[in-house]
Amino acid sequence: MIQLKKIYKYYNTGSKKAYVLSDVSLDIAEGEFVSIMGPSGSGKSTLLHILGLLEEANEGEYLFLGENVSKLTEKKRTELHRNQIGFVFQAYHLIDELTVYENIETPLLYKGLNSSERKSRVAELLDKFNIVGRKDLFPSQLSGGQQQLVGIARAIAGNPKVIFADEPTGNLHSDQATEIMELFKKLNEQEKVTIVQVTHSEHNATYGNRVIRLKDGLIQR
Amino acid sequence: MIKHYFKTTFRYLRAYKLFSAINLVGLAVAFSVVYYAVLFVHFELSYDQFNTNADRILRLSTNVETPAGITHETSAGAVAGAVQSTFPEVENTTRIFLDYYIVQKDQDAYGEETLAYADPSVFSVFSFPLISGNAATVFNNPYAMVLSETAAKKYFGTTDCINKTLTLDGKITATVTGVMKDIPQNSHFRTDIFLSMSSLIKEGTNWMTNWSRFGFSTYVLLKENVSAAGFTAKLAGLAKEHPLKNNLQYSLVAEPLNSLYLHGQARGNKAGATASGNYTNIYVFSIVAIFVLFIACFNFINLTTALSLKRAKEIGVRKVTGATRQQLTYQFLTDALTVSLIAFAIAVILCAALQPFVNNITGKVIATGMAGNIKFAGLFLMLAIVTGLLSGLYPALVLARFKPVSNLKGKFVNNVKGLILRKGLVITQFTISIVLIIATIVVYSQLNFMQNENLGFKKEHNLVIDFHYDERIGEHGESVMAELASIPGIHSASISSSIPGRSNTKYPTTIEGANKEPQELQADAYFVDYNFLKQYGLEVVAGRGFSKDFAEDMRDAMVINESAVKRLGFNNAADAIGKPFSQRGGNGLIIGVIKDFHFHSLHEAIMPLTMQVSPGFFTFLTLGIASENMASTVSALQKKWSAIAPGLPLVYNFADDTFNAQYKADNQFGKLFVCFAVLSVFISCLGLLGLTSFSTVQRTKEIGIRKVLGASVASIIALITKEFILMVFIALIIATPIAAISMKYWLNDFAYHIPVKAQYFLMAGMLAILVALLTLSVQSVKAAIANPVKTLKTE
Repeated sequence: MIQLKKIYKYYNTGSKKAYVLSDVSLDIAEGEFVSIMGPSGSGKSTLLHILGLLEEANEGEYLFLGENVSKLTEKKRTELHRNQIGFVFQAYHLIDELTVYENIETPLLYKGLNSSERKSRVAELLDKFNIVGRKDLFPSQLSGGQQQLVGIARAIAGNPKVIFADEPTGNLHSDQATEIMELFKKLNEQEKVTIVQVTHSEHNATYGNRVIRLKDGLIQR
Repeated sequence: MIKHYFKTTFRYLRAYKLFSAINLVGLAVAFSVVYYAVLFVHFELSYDQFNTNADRILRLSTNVETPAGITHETSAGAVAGAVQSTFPEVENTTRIFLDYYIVQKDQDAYGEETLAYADPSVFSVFSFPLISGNAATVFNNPYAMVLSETAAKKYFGTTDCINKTLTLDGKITATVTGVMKDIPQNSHFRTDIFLSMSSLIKEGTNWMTNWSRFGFSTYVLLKENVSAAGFTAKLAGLAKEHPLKNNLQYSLVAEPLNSLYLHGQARGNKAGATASGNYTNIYVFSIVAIFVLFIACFNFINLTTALSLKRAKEIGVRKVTGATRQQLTYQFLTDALTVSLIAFAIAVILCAALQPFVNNITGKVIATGMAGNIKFAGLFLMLAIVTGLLSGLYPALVLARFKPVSNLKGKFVNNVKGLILRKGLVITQFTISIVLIIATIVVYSQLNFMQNENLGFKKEHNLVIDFHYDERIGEHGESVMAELASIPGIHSASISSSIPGRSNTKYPTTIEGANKEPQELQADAYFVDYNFLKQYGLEVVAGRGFSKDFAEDMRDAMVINESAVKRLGFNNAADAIGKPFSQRGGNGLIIGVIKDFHFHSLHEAIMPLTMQVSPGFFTFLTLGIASENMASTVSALQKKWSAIAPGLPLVYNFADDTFNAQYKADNQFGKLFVCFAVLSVFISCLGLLGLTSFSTVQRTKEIGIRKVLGASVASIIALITKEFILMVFIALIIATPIAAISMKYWLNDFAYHIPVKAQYFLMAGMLAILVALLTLSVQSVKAAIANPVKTLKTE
């Protein structure tokens, strides 16, 4: 499903190139639950952003669903974000001015679903995540764990093939973290959603079925 | 989707109350300013358009070529008839002669009113519909009168008043023969009372055949499809056939009715002269209104782009959840449009509330409510939409282009281009505001100068009675004055044909000049008594003033002013003494020269003036009155007056008020200018308030760290305000030359004006910086005294 071939990412600092990622090649099959681990500054987040089409690599090839996405028009990229990719962020990144219901609804709006389709999809997700009672609350009225639940609900609202999660539990207490990780596992196993997470925690990595370790921009074998 | 756009917009309006309020208030005020400026301009441009035949009406006037240049006169009474009978392309002609009278229904209710003598054809040339009476017969008799609805209601309480009578100047009985609709406000001449022309041109007078006696406004209605230019060309021939009495060359000119108000040459000198507009004012107000709108739009652009930093995360989230750039652009345009439309709604209410105030300031009924101006309301709505879209466009395009990943990382750095734009807009705002402040200071200094400048005559403590040429006073001046001067509190009296600040007649006058040849000048003429020079404190610089001791002083002696001396070519005033003159058929010698004084407003240069002692033209009584016990003096005067001239109401004024009444239009201009300046400064400061509030939020962490490191409150305030004050300073530097040039241009309209002084610019600059500092202090002080522990924690 995802194939990276000899990806390089660098920044120009003065005359020298500072490599964030060097010669990264990997394959992720549909239905996998992959954890990317490594110390701070190892390039985890950059890798995730490249996978999620938020950043472009300087060199190398990226095939997503068999299609070369190394260079994409903005339109095409938006198209993939709408239909194939979901994001979960460490800081949740809910829109503060929208309610729980509206936050989950946002991707569906952009996808162009009609009102009744949206309503039933949001209702389904609220029900599934057990947050029906909170649908009219604003993010600031929720705990971190609850916000992240909403974040995940929003990420899967558009039925993506893959979810990219950037330290999804990094800001949470351990029991909340467990709840979130269980949820990911369930999504992966029951709904066959491919999940790629960046994490610091060995414990969280155990929820997945493969770990990719990065150090100084290189994959450790 | 649209619903979602609006929902988001309203959520944001609520979340960022200060920003929303600034945008709404700024735009609403700007819209109101633009609305009234458009109404004002439209009103000024609409003069005389209500006449169905407006494009076929011409005003005939006379340009007399004197050695001193062209004098612009109205037309003689004979012109209309001659034109009518000579030129087949003329469909109709009519004459108007403006005058003023004391109008009375009974002894107690009276007022001075502008009246117009008119030919009956006035109702067919112009569109003045009659409510009652027959246009063909209303003016069959002398002192037949057509009242406007307003006048009918004022005097009789009803428009049903045919055959009722009014008393003019306390002695003439005029009969109502018709009632017409009010002449619209945007007519270049207005009257509430028309009198039949036969009231003016009595049998046995030569007004109908005399080509040299001006005073009529003659209007020609051309037949359809007749070229005005072709008709005008033929007028030269007609003028040749009818030479003036003094044999001066002249030409008949035809001015189109459509452009009379704004471009027509001021003509004649009778009281109640026609209204004339000022084209410069139209430009000034259009430009200023656009500026005010710009300032508000700049606020919008500035605040929206500034706020976008706060919305960066949202934009990033929306992008990764699948929003296209286009959809985001729509979102931001919706925001802008919504703000603009809400501002529009506020502006509608504001305009309705301000209507009486605006009409009062402009001195005209330019606005009759938006309901009556659906066309304007529509235009106004369009303006709101266009403004919203245009000012929303830039932020929308910039915001939608954000890269989501840096936004989400919280790494968003304000790009340099945006910062420069924002600073540029603030500088522009303040430049405009400072220009307006300087302009206001200059305008007011000039108004102040005009009202307080030494005019060369004594204007205080002179009570002036206009007795409307009443023979009971005019022909017994001496005894009347003696009687009035016996009232305690009245210490002197003088009688004259005119007083400074009032109109006077010009006469062709011949005086022997420096080259020993008789010189022709069109001189302003005053007819006065022996006491006039003393009464008005006019200083004799050569020769002597009038005196009863010299028999020739009655009619055969003349006093001229220094300007006349100069015109005649003399270097010394004394050289003019003893030179022969002729005026109005009379002859005599110059006996004295008086120092120049301003007998007209400071708009006009002092022109040659002649004075003669000559009863028969007298209409003003000037009484020197003590300031103590004024009330009892006036009531004693009132009592005496009714004994001297029973039936003639006492209409009086003070000489200084009379003179300053000439500045009514200037004062209105000044008032409007202050409004504009205050509003633009206000809106600019709103923007500044928004930006500082934003920049202090942005720099919360920096401020916290600085405080922890030991920065004082004062240094923090300086840190925040420094940048903005610098911008205001740059604005001052840009504004100075702009204001200097434009104010020089404006002042040139006044023959006597103040110099543009450096202190005006300093004052304006200090004011702008002060206001900016006050605005800035609101936010910066709050930020500077905040507890750093709190601010650092939130980061």
